[in-house]
Formats: sequence, C-alpha cells, structure tokens
Amino acid sequence: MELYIPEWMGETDHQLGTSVKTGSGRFVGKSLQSLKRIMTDDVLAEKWARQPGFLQTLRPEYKVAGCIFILVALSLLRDYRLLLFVWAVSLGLMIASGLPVLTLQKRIWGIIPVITLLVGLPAVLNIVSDGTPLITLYQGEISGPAALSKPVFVTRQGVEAVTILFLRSGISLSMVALLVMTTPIARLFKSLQSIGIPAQFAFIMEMSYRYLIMLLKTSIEMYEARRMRTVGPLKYRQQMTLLSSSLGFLFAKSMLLAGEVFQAMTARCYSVAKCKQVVPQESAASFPPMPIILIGADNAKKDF
Amino acid sequence: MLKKIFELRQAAYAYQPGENVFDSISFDVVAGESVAVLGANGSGKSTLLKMLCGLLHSQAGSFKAFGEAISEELLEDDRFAQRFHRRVGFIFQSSDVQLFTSRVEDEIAFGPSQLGLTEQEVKRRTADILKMLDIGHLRDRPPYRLSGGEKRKVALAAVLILNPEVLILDEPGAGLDPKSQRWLTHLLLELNRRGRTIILSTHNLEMAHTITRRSLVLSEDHRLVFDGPTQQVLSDRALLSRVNLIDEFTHEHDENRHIHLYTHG
Repeated sequence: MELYIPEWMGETDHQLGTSVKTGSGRFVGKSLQSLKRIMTDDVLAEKWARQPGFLQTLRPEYKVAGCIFILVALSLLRDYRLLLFVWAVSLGLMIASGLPVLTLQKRIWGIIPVITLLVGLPAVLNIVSDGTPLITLYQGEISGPAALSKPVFVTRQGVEAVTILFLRSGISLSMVALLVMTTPIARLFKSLQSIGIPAQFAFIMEMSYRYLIMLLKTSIEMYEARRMRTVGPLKYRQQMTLLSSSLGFLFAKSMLLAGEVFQAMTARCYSVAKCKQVVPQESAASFPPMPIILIGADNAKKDF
Repeated sequence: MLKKIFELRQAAYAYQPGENVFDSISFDVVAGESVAVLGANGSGKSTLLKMLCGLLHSQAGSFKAFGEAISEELLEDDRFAQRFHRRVGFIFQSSDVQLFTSRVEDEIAFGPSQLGLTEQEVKRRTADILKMLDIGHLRDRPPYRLSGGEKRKVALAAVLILNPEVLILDEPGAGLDPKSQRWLTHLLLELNRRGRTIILSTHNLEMAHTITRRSLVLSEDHRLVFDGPTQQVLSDRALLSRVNLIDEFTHEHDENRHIHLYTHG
C-alpha cells in the first residue's frame, strides 16, 4: 500500500509557537473545568445524595411534596422578613444535610436571582409603576420634550416588589437545589409519579435530563479536544470564529441526536398520536407546576 | 538509554467514590515504543489514555511526562499546557467531539495556524495532510456531515498536522471499514517506524498484533494484569479469556463438535 508522508513530518519543530496566556481563554477554560467538576462530582456521582445527612434520610416523595408546598407558599408570601426566615431555614437544612453552604450560596444567588433582579429593575421607577418617591433621579423642571419634563424617581413600592421577587427566586432555587442534591436522580423521577404527576410527564422530564447530561458531556469533551489542539496563542477574531462554529456544531449535533432519539423511541413502539391524545387530557390543575406559575404570575402582577 | 516519555507510579482514578476505574497502576513508556492497552469494555482503557494526555489526573501516586511531574495545576498554566499538547496528540474515541469548525480544511489548519507559521506554510501543510490521508475531496465539507470513517480520518489529520512526538489513539479502528482499518494500520506502523511513540487502546486483537510490540492488559476488575510483548499475551489464551478479550462457544453441526473463538471486532 502506497503511503505519502510529508517531509516536514520527519522534522521535530516543537520549538515553534511561543504561547502567551490569554485572558478570555483562561476564563472559558476555568468555567468549563468547574462545570466539568460539578457534573462529574455533584451530578453524575451524586456525591451529596449518597452521603449521610438529614434530608438524605427522608423519603423522596415527602421531599418532593414538601418542596412543592414551600414553592407555592413562597409565591404567596409578600413579607420579606418571612422570606428571609425561609432562607434561614434553607441554610439550616443545608448544614444538617452536610452540603457545601458557601459554594451553594454562590451558585444559587450568582445567576438566576441576579438575572431576575436585572429584569425587574425598571419596575423600581415611577415611569413603569407609580408609587411613593424614595430616590429622585430627575427633577423634571428642566424644559424639554414632554416625556422628560416629568420627574423620574425610584418608588418605595417598586424597590419592595423587586426585592421580594429577587428573594423569591433565590429561595425557590435553594429549595430545589436541596431537593435535587440530596436525592438520587432515579429515585427523584420515580417519586414524581407517586405524588400524582402523569407518567408521560415524568418520562419526558427524565429523558430531557438524560439528553441534557449527554449534551453537556459532549460540550465538555469538545472543549477538551480543542484544548488538546490549542498549541499557541489565538487571535481574538479566531477565538470568536471558533466559539461560534463550536456552538453551531453543537447545535447541529443536538438536532441530529434529537432525531436519533426520536427514531429510537419510534422503534420501541412510541407513537406521536398516542402522546398527543394524552397531553390535552391533562388539565392545568393536574400539572402541579402550573398553579405555581399562575399564582406566581398573579402575585407579581399584584406586587407591581 | 532510551528516553522515558511517560512514568506512571501507583496511579488511581475513580469517577465515583469507592468505584475505582483502576487502582495502583505503574508502568513506563519509552520513546519510539508502540503500546496497546487491551481490556474488555469498562476496564478503564479510555480513562488511562486520558490520564496520559493530561485530560484526567491521577488521584494517587505520581505521573511524569517527558521527565516532568504533571499535575492539574501545572496543566492549568496555558503556556505549559500548550507545550505539552504540542508533543502529545490524542484521538478521541468519538471523532464527533473532536471536530468543531464548519469546514474540514479549517479543522485541519486549526493547529498549525497557532504555531507562528506563515499562511502559505499552513496551507502547504494542510494540503500535504489532506493528500496523505486521501481526503482532499472533503476539503470544503462540514465535518458533522461526514460518515464515521471520514470523520475519523479528519480527526486524525487534525492531530497529525501538529506532528506530535506521541500519538495516543482511543479505539482507532472503531467504526472503520476493513479497507480503512488496513490503511490506518499501515499509517501507524509507518509513523512508528519514523520514531513516533504510538499508544492505542483497543479490544481488536488483530490490530494490536499488527501495530504494537508491547501490551498492557487491564482486567475487568480494573487491574493491570499483564505488561509485556504483544506476541506473548496473544498466545496466552487463558489470560485473554480471563480478561474477557476472547470467548469460546461450543456447538454441534451434523454430529460434529465445533468450537468458535469470539474476539471483539
């Protein structure tokens, strides 16, 4: 068999490529490394669910029911002192269950509540919802366009509503984190059915979970593969091009994977028609998260 | 004395506490060797290879590469990691995860474009590799649309263009048709003849026999049960059977007794 081997492959040119540290690469790399650690230790190994602790000893069904009850209660509470009390309870449960309280607080409060805060921020101004002035930002006496001639101030009611929204999302997340981290995932999905959630929904949730894990694993492996071939400094433009093509590749792959998963389901007698018949029969009331969402939305509306 | 590439001492790794992938494994790899890591599914072959190329880190013992002690902290230093990855090329079991650009040519040019070479030189090397692997016709295709064998070739090209001293391949024959397997065998033999260190994991005994001179055998209970000449391990039917690399099946046809020997393909 004829084999062409280029001449330069006989050379050892490893002195080539003087690399430098790249800030953004390190940030992305460190984030993915920590994501990998969370996934392997916390999610796949179920490290926290397997260790002894208070919540680990409770039956998953009780924990799921308790969590749903607390989430509903949280969406009804409007007193921030009570919300802070529930948060303190969640901290106590974390300690009693041997969870890493500080790390969890950073993860919980660092993302979703902050986004909620940013989204809700315009509501503190009187131009969105009127109320008692707390801090005046613009007096309004300067002549100009009609819209700007009115005073602009931060309202007391607006600040309270946004604070409550921020606390609610953070504490709800803490409760869900407590449930998920102290329960083996297989038992958690099984317990959903025992509290009345239709098997079809539990099945779809379980499948989504597996699919997400698979996608996460793929993206981490893609990062590792790229890191193995990163042997020198990359220009900003190159990095951006790579990032976008990696995202595109992952998206294309997830589409292919979704297609294959569906084919595998079809091959095991899964029928779309049957599924369509099942879903509309479920009323909003029989789907537990729905009342929570509705109550939450209603309360938010009242608050604003 | 031959230069030691890898020195692994009492290495251990567990994905979950109490469930070791392997425990207390020690061996050296010297420059120019061709080594097969053999074992049944789940014996820890891929984990061991990932450890050698610095993607996973031993939770006990020590690991040295090119005479330097390798740690997670050291590989977090980009400068060191880039130098290390320049010398050790890794072909993943799934080629899909290795390909991340929208064109095959860009995929292959990704490595050399970071080496401070001129654009012309990068193009020349890319063209050379495309010719070497006979994949010039795939140049403008998106990698994710390729067949399994084509993806494997592109992944190989993307690593070979960096001209690494050590080539680590995780199940290189998986998903390849017989002709491509023969071509790959020929290529790896030639690269090894030219001084490249080849380490591959496989349960394809024929491939291990043709390419490698030394074998490390992992048992199903994650222990290193053999480290020696490939020829020797392949003639030890009892050991191969014990580690589930071969299986015997006896049945009768027309009153004649047949014994079939099954190996992983």
